[in-house]
Amino acid sequence: MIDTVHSPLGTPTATVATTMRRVLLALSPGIIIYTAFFGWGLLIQLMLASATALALEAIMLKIRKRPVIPHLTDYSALVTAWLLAICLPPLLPWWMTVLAVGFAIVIAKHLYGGLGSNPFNPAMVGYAVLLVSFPREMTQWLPQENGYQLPGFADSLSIIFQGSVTTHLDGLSTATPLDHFKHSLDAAPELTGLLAGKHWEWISLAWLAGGLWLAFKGTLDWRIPLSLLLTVALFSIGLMLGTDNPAWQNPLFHLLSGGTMLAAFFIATDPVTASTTRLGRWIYAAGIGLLAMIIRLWGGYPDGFAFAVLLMNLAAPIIDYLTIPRAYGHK
Amino acid sequence: MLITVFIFALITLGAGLVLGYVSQRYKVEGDPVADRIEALLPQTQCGQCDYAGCRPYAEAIASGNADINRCVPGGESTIQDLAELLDREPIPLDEELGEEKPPVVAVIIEELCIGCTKCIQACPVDAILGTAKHMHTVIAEECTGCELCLPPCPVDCIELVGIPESIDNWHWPRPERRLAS
Amino acid sequence: MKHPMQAGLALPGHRSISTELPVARAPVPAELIIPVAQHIGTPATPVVASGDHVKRGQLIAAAQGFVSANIHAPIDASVKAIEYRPVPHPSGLNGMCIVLEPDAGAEWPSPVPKAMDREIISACAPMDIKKKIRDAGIVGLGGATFPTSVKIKNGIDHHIDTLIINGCECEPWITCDEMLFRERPQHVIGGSCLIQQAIKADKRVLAIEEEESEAIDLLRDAIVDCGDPIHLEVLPTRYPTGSEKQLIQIVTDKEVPTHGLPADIGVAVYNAGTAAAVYRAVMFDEPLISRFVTVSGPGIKQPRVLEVLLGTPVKDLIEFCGGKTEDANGLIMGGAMMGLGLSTDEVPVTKGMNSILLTTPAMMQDTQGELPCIRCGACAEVCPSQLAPQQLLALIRAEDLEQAQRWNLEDCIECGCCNAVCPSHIPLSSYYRYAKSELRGQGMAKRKAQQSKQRYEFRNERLERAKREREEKMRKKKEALQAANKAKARAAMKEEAEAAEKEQDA
Repeated sequence: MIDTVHSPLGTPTATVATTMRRVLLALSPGIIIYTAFFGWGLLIQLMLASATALALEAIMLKIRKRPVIPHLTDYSALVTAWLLAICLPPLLPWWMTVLAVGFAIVIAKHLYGGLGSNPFNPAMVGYAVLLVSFPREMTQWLPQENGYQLPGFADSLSIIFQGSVTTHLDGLSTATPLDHFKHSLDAAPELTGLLAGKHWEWISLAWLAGGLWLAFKGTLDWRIPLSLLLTVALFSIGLMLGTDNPAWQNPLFHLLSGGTMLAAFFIATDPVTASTTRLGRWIYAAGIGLLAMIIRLWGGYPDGFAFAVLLMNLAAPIIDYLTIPRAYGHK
Repeated sequence: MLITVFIFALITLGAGLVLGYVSQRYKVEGDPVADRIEALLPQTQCGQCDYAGCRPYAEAIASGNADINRCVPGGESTIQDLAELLDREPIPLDEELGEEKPPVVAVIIEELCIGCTKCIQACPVDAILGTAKHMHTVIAEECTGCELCLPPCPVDCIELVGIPESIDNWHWPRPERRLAS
Repeated sequence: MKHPMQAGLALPGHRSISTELPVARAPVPAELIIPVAQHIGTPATPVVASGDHVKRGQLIAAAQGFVSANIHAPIDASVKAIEYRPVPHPSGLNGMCIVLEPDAGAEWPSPVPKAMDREIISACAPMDIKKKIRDAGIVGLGGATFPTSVKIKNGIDHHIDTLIINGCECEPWITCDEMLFRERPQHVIGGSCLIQQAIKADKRVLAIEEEESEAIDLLRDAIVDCGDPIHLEVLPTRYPTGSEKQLIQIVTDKEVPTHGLPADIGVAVYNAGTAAAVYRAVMFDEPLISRFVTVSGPGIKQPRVLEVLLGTPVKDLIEFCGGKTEDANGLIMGGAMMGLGLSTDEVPVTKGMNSILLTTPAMMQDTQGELPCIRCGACAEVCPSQLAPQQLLALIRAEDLEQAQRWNLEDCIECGCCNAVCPSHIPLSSYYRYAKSELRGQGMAKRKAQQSKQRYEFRNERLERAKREREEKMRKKKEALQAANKAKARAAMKEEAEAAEKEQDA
């Protein structure tokens, strides 16, 4: 008995799960350093977001009559959840996190067709929804002064789940270095670290390390982070040369502050929502870098990557259409 | 106030002149929409759409007198193509005109043929070979399956047969999605 | 611009399992089934009838038209029947075949002597070479089966500066050209000389992949022995180096224009097996009646390369190679990347069949299954034609074939590199095969519709003309009648007038 089977024969070794797991692995160094500087909040948010994401994904798959186990085990929901948790302030109330994950998984991902069909980056949709709806809570970051006592594990849990503190803490809400430099002109040495914003520079370097590893492994397209970082760097150098503002005199500042490195290696590189042609990806990433810098400087928010990414997601199809690769034999 | 009215009137006049000039200068002869519609029709010239051929039907669609779902040989794929061209919603084939069938060709049963040439005169694409009192035969490659030769035949010797699948007309099937389960 | 060496894949070759043993000659089967359509172009027409006796090498089906090829009897036999039989085609449908029953005790003569005589070769005239190739029914033996004499004619009509003999057997499992190099290198070299002579190419190159190291050594020795100036180009092993377009780009750094031919840029590529067949045809008047076939795969007990008479059923080859293993489940004609499935082993060996693969379920095991495309672009990175397979997939799934054409679907060579790297395990090349086949069908339907329209318009014109001619005739008749009446009336009046005059006179 012969089963007629045509080529392709054999199974590729690459799987979606290995790709996604690598991304999670690459995020880990940054997460560890973040926890060291800012306490348990991030880890709790990660667990909360992961659990919510998996639960919602399973429910949506069932509703859409799709096979549940194969899609749950492709780790894509976890990647969305982790990226979102990393972007959110570490002590954000739990229901806001759940809301963000809900928007990301249910609306931005499944209602648009599930894995591979979503036009907008789900994590950024979740983040943007929260940022616009709850601007105050979304800009409450932990202080970075020396000698500041970070909340312990129990305290972090209670803040997140009950919205209250059991021990006295002052100054729960401060601005990030990026936030500060947006609204004031002084150099603020207490917020400056070795290379750029204090604490955040190490976190950014950790994202950079993870991202470079992914680039070498071939998990992400190197053109996107390169183009994005080049655009930001050029813009920074332009600021340095063109203005007297002491905040902009360090060209590394913009590269190592806020979400630049995270966006460059983990958010803009989301293949589903990015441009898909080689030349298109250069343009897409440059567009993100440019828009983010514009928002940082002249927009209403301290960091612009979320909106920059969403705007360029809108542009990705037309960028693809205009950058059809030259095929063999064509001029 | 008067100045505003005057300025707007001037703009309107200017726009009107420009539009008038452009519409004359770049005027296209003929009816390009009807041409494009006709290019999508299967050219069977069968008349099942109640028009005297594919060109009259195309012109009727272009002028809004006919709907896009009247072509029986073209079937659903033609309706889809027309819908896309004219930016409309595709609608199902008009049931009163017939059902969509797989493509067929006419075959003359030679034992019954009396050589009357009535079918030759009926064929819109001259796909039947023959002359008076001699055997008639259908040139299969030219036959469009329009069925116009069947009614005139006095001895009912013409049959419609489906085009058999052979290596020449075999296509690769559409791949199925083997979603994991 | 991406060089094919950057695109493509490094694949495990699975070569050594079928190259351990020397080439064996498959035994003469009980029945030889010879399809009349074994080549690109019009099928040949049988020139024998059931019951005829034919001798080895006799013409049994004649080429029809320019793009077609002759077919010959591989051995002394009698024509058993001319009927529809299963043929090696992915559709699993039957094709018209000439079925021969070899004579009892019919021998398969020993291979032709190996020495290559350069003087005889250089004395052959190009048109003679082309005629002998045409008479011998030689077609491209790399699998394309394009009639070689037509390609030679095209080469004669264009200026060819580089002739490339394609010995790059890049698809895994296939080793028949490698064994040809090992056992009959002089035939390949001699054939390449003849082809160069015919098309008057300036340079001659033999391209081979570095993995075939034994073959390379034997070839080098043969080249030295013959004193032949052919240039041996050893290329890094990569799939799909052996694809004609990619090979041309690697060797000459030029690209074949889309919808064009290599001759348009002054290059000609011939498969090594084709060159050897040309040699046998021109030097010894031997038509194409046998070829090397690799029988391999995890599902065969004794994989090896066989020299097979055309028309031998595949099941005979499988039996000769020790039979199938316990878990063998599929039969593929070709290799692992581009091969096509066969539904039965009763099909015969044809001119284009270079390999038979027996597959096992283990080859197709997939724990993940197919997931949606995540647009990662890994496929675009490896595509040797520099396409965007991820975009083509989305367009084909949406049945937007027109846009797919705009994204250069028609330049897809169906090599299968994209399948091998897809993390979602989507069978990409099957979508492109389907879409190209649809486009071809749509193109044919459109052409037929155009033709019907022309016939319709011509008919209308004819009827109009007939009508006009009739009316013209009627009009002329009427006029003639009127003129005649007038003349009659005038004559009558004249008579009356004369009569009246006469009366008056009287």
